[in-house]
Amino acid sequence: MSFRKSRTLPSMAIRFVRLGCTNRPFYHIVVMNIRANQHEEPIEQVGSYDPLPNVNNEKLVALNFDRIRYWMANGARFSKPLEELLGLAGFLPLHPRTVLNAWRNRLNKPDEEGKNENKE
Amino acid sequence: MFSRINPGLLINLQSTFGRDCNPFLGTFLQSVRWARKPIWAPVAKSKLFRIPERKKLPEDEALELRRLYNEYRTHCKAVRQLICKEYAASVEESPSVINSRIDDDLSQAIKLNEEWNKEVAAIREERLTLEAEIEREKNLQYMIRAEQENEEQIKLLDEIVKAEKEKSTTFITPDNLDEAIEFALANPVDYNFAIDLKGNIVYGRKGKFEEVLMKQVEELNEKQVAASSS
Repeated sequence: MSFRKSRTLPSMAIRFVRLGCTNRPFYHIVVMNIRANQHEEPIEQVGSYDPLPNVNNEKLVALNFDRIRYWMANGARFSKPLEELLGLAGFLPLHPRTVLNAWRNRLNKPDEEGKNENKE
Repeated sequence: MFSRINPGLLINLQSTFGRDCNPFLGTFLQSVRWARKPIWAPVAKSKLFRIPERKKLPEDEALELRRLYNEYRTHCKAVRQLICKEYAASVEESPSVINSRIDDDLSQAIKLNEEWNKEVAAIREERLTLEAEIEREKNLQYMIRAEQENEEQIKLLDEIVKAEKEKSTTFITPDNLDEAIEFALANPVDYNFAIDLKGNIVYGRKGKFEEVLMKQVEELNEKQVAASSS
C-alpha cells in the first residue's frame, strides 16, 4: 500500500544517544526523528553500546536486528558511527573508515606490543 | 566556527544610528566563537589572513579509499533493497483481500450487534411492563388515599357547620338586641375576686363582702347542725 512508502514517513535516523556521565560514555542505539535532539524521547530503542572495554577487554553491544530491519525498511538512515559498528557486526558491509583505521593501526603498531588491540 | 552577524552588535547599531544604517553591509560581519575568548572578539590580527592548509592523502591511499567507498555504497544499497523487499513481501496484501476481510468483520459485527440488541430488547420489555404495573398500583393507592382524605375533610366541615348552627341560636341579632342589652344591664358580671388566708374566695369588687360572709356563716351553721344531729 502506498502509505507504507518510506518517503511519506518523517525522515528517521538510527543513531547513538550518549548516556552515562563525564568520562564514562554509554550509548543507547535509538530510532529518532532526524532533526530531534539526542536527549529527546526516541521513537524506539533498538540496542545499546558500551564503548569502554570491560575486564575481559570486550566492548559490549546489544542490537535488535528485527527492529533495525523493520525501521530500515521504513526509511530510517544510519549515522556514520553506527554504520561502522554494524559493519563490524556483519549486518552491513565493512565501513571504509574501519579499513582505513586498521591500516593506520597496522602501520603505527609498535613491534610485538600490539597484542592488546581491542576486539569488537 | 562560521561567519554570522552578532545580534547584540546589530541591535546596538540600529539603536544608535537608526534604521538608515544598514547592518548587513559586509563591514559588520564577524566570526563568532563559543569558547575561551569572548564571542564578540574579532579574529586575531596575526591570524586574520591565515588559510589553514588542507590535509592531503597520499594518492594511492586516496584512490583505494574512493574505491572502498564506492563499493561500500553499492553494497549498502543492495542490503537496503533486499531488506525493503523482504519487509514488503512480509507485509503486502492485495486491496481486494483487505476489503473482503473488512466486509466480513463488519457483517459479523452487525450480526453480533443485532443479537445483543434482541437480548437487551427482551430485558427492556420485561422491565418496562414491571415498571408500568408498579406505576399503576401506585396511582391507584394515591387515588384511594385522596378520596379518603376528601371524605374526612367533608365530615370535618359538616361537624363545624353543625356546631355553628347550634351556636347561632344564642347569637345577638338586631331583633333581640334590646332584650340582650337589658339582660346585660340587669346582670352585671364582675370577674374580680379576693382571697383570704383561709382560701375563701370572694367574687366581685364592690361591697358584697358581707353578703358572702353571711352566706358562708350560714353554710357553716348548717354543717354544724348536720354534724350535731347525726
